[in-house]
Amino acid sequence: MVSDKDRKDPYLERIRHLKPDQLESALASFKQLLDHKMAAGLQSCVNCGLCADSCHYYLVTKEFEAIPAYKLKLVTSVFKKLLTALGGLAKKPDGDSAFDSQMVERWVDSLYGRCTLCGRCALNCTMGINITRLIRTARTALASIDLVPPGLQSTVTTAVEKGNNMGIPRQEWLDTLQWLSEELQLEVGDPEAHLPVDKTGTKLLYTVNPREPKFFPLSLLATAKIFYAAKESWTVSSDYYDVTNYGLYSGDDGAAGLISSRLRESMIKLRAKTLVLGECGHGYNSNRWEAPEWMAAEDRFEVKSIIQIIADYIREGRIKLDPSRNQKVVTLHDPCNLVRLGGIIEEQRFILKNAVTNFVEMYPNREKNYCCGGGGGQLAMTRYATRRLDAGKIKADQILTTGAKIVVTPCHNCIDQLSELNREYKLGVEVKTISEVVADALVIEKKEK
Amino acid sequence: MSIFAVLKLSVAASVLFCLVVLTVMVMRTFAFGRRPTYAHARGSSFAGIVYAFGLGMLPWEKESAAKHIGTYIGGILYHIGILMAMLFLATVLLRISLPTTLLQAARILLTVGVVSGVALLIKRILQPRMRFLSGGDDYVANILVDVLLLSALATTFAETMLIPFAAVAIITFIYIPFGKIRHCVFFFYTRVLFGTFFGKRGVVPHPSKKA
Repeated sequence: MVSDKDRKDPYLERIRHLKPDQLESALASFKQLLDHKMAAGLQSCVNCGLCADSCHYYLVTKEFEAIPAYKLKLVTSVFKKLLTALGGLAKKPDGDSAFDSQMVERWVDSLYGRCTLCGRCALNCTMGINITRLIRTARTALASIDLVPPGLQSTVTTAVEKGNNMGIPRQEWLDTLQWLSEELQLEVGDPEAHLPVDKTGTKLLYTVNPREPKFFPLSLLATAKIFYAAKESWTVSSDYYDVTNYGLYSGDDGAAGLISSRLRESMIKLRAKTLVLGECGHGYNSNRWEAPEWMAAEDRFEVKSIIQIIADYIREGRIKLDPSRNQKVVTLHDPCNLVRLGGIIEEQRFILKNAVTNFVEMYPNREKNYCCGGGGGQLAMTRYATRRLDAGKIKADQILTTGAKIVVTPCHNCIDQLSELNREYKLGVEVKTISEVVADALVIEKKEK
Repeated sequence: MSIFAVLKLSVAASVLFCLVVLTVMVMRTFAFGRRPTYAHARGSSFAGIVYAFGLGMLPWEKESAAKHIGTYIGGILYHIGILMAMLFLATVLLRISLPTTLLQAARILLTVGVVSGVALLIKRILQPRMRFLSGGDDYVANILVDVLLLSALATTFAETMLIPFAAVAIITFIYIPFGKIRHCVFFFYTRVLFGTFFGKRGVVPHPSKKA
C-alpha cells in the first residue's frame, strides 16, 4: 500500500507520528458528533456486500478497500466497544479496532482517497445506512486533528481567509463584473444591461463558483443574459459570492459553517429575498441542506438553485427559448450533491427539453446516476488524481453510450472532472453548464427605443 | 416438571432475554441523542419512510437488488423461512396442531429457507470480496440460522427433533443481540432513517411517482 514516494510524504509522516493525545482527540470529536441516527448506522451493517457495485471506485478498480461496507467497517471497528451489547468483549470484525496511526492511514486512504461522498451506497444499502454521513463524520474527526489531505485543506483555508476558494481579490472580481457587463451590453444590444453589484432590496442574490470569474467568465455571462431576458431583480455581492464550500468535503464543520454564514451575511446586508445558488452541486447541498445544521439556525429566506429559477422562468413564460439553436445531441450528467443528495431531479430535464432539440438520457440517471468522480474534494486532492480519473471511466462509458456531442451538467466541479475525462478517454464532447445551453437558445427581445 | 415444560420455559426465557437486550441496545442508541434539524423540507419524510419499506425495497427501484437478483430473492426466501421457523416453534410449544396443508406449506418454506441460507453461505465463502468483508459473526449467524431452519424442518417430520430444535432456538435467541442478527430490529430503525433523510430532501419517492 505504501510506496517509496509515500514514505517521504510529509502528510503521511504526520500521520505516522501522531501522538496518543491527538488520536484521543479525534475519537472524542467523532463521539461528540454521534447522534442516534449515526449510532444506529454504526451497528446495522450485515455485510451483505451489495453496496460494492454501487461504488464507482469499486466497479472500476475492483479493490476491496473501495467497498462501502469496508469503509463503514473501518469506522465501526473503532467504535464497536461503544455500541455492541458485548462492548469491549465483542469480536473485532477485522482483527484491529485500535485507533492508531495505522488505522488513521487506512481511514485516510479509504475515506478521503476512495470516496466522493456521492451517496450512491447510501441509496443502495439494503439496511438503509447513511454510509456517506458516517464517512463524512469520520472525515470530521480527522479534520479535528488537522489531517485533511493538503490540497483539500488549502482550498478550505483559502476560502476562509480570502472569502472565496480561489483567492480572487475583490477588485479583480469587480473588474470581471464590469467587463462582463460590457460584454452583456454587446450581446443583448442594450447599453443599460449590466451585472448588478451590491444592489439592495433585490429579489435574488446570486452566488457563483469562483472558477467562473477566474476561468470561465462566459458561464457567468450566460446566467446574466438569462436574468436580463427574464427582467429579473438580482444582484451579486462584492464580498461574499462564493457558492462552493469545501468544508463539506474536508469534514471541518467549523469552517463549513463560517463559509456558509457569509452568504447569509450578504443576504442580510443586501436585504435580498432569495439566495440563489449557482451551478454547483456541493454548493447546493452545503448551502441548502447542510448550512442550517452547521449554523444551528433556520434560514429566514428561500434558498434555491439557479436551475429551479430558470425552470420557473420557462414555466412562467418569462424567457423564450428556441431549441433549434441547440441541434447537437445533448446528454445530462446529474451531479450527486444536487440530485441524489439535493432533490433537484426533474428541473434540469424540463429545461433541456425546452432548450435543445435532441436530448438523450444517460443510464442510469437521476438519483441513480453514477458520480463523475470529481466530488468529495477529489479534484483538490492531487495525491488521488490517478484514482479519480480511473474511477471516472464509468462516467466516460455512460457518456460514450449516449452518442452525445454535448454533456450538460449543472455543476462546475463536475465540469472540471468531465473535461478531464473528455481528454483522458477521448470522448470528443463539449461540456457545458445549463445556463450556457439556455443562453444559446435564448430569444432576446430587443429593447424598444 | 416435564422435559417439554423445561423446553418451553427455556425458550421463553431466551426470547425474553433477547427482547430485553435488544430493547436496551435500542435505548442506548436513542441515548446518543437527537439533534434538532433546521433545513426546511423539500419533500416529505413520511412519504420517504413509506417508500423505504415499499417501493424502495423492490429491484426496479434499488439497483443493488436488481444487480444481485439471485441474492435478493434468496434473502427474501431465507427471511420467510426464518419467520416460518419462529411461527412453527411457537405452534409446537403452544401445542397448536397444524392442519396438513399448513404443515406442508411450512415444510416447503423451511426447505426453501434452508437452501437459500446455505446458498448465501456458499456465496460468502466462495466470493473473494465477500470473504474479505466477512468476520466470524457473518458465518456464525448464517450457520446458526441454517441449523435452526433445518431442525425446524426435521421437527415437522418427527416430534423427537423438538429438543434439538428448541436448543438451537435458545442459542439463536441468546446470540441475536450480540451479532448481526440484531438487524431484525435495526433494519427497521435504519430504514426509517433512510426514508426520513431522502424523503425530506425530496429525493424519494421519485418526483414522477409522487401523488
